[in-house]
Amino acid sequence: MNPTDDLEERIKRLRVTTTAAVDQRILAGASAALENSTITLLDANRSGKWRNIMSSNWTRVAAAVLVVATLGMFMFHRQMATVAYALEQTIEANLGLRSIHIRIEPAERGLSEAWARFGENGELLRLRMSFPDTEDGAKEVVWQEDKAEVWFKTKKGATVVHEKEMLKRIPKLLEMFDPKVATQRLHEAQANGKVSIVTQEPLEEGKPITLEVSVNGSPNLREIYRINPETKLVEQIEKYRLDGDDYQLVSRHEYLEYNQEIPPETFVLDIPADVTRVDTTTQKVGLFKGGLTDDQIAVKVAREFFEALIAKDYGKAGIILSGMPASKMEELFGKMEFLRIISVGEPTPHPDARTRFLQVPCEVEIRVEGQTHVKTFRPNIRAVYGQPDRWAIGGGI
Amino acid sequence: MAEDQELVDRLCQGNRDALRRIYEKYKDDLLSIGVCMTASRADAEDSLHDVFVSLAKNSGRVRPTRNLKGYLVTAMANRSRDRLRKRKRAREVDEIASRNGDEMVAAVVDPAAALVDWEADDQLHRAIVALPAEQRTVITLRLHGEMTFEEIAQQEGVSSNTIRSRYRYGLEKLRSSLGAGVER
Repeated sequence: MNPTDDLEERIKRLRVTTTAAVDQRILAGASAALENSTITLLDANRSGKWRNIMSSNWTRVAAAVLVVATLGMFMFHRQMATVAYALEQTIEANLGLRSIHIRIEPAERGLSEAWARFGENGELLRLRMSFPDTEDGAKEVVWQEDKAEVWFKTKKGATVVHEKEMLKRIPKLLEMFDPKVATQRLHEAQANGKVSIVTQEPLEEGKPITLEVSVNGSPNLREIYRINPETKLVEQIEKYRLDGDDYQLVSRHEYLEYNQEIPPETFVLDIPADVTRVDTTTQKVGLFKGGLTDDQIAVKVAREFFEALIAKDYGKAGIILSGMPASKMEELFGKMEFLRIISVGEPTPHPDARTRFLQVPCEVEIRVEGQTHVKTFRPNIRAVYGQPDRWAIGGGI
Repeated sequence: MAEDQELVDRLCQGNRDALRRIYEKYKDDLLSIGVCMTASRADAEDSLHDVFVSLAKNSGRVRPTRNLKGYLVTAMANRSRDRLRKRKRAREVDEIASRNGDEMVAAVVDPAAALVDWEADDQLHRAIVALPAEQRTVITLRLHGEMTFEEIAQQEGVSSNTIRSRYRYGLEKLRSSLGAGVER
């Protein structure tokens, strides 16, 4: 069939679906808005009762006495307060940070929870991150300076990362949620006049200090920082966006535990035995590049991959496909019969240049359940992490 | 539709189940419209969020004049247009910077996922996103939003003939970029 036949029908069928995390975020926001619209009605009723109460002369006098008394107590309390809160106190408190447990709701960049342990100079020593719902399904990542492990829980795969550049980049995700970074940036933004902060210190003991942050020039955005009055550490950061007349909660970062001993097993992935593991430091992955250009090696990888599948050489195909075990390859591709390569085209860069993949269009004749098809495959090929002289499909991991 | 009318009635009474049912029923159509119009999944998700928060907040006043889907599609199209207008270079740079860490984690792909990119739908999606915004807007409102050319024309503030032309040119470009270059 011509690829443009039924184009309108194909477009209709081309649907983008939401993830569970997005569903959760939107339904939470919409439900809160629905509830608020109900609360507004209730508040209107309360105002009516208030008007009725205040219509009595006696109650007016009593209310006036109460207001004066409350004001007097407030003034007394303010005089007793010795030092007003300043953001510098939180920055100072952050210097002693040794560990933290963060929860992000709804998940951002897929991350919902993280545990981090820091050294004496504030350097990150160990990190664990939970991603409950990503395009790769659920993932768990543990990181330390020279090694990271990723467990694809849904897909039952696991890999070890040793490549230095990648190891440097993993903790950058934590920076988005690190209270040290957040308060430092807030302090700088305040100093540069980019934000305005209204500080509310609690009259009641134990209640958090609240910083209401508005972004100058962006009236649609608000952030609320809640600060522990004793430790001066951030307990929570909430982000709001104006929708109509109301600010709607967009996200909440909760800092559940500071400086608590994190059990060592938190930083070890408890990976079940049936999970496929790939470690690029102990096994050769992909094909040797030698003197070939990037385009040449990409074509060679694509061609040899399909040739291996045609020959049912799942061992070789697995080495090219990121080091997958032969048994897993047979499980994945055994139901298809690869008959012949019709053409291998010119490599083109992946649409997302940051992935550094080359895509090689390959027309291959395959047979599935007795039916023969011609399929155009477009494998993503690039140098293997940690083995830069070798190239593989899927980046080698 | 009778079900939609009932859902709207229940929503007006503050019924959460009705809100959830409306969301489940139309979310993918609306998200598809948002992605096609803005060429950004993140923007489309934000627009979808805004549409449903607004629907819930104004539940007491919502009275779709034509039908519920038409009301939601119009709201989604308006939000998507706003985002297209407001999208600034600086914000994109910020997003890219903040994605660095995530990109790394995403780059640690499941090996089998490297093969997912092979399907033809991916080519079609890329071709749609590469169309001029006004053409992909008409195509998605027509095919995902099930709107008539006259309704789209009213929304876009141009004649229905212009809308028909945009639709036709858009489809021709898609056919061309998908490699056939036929049926002109």
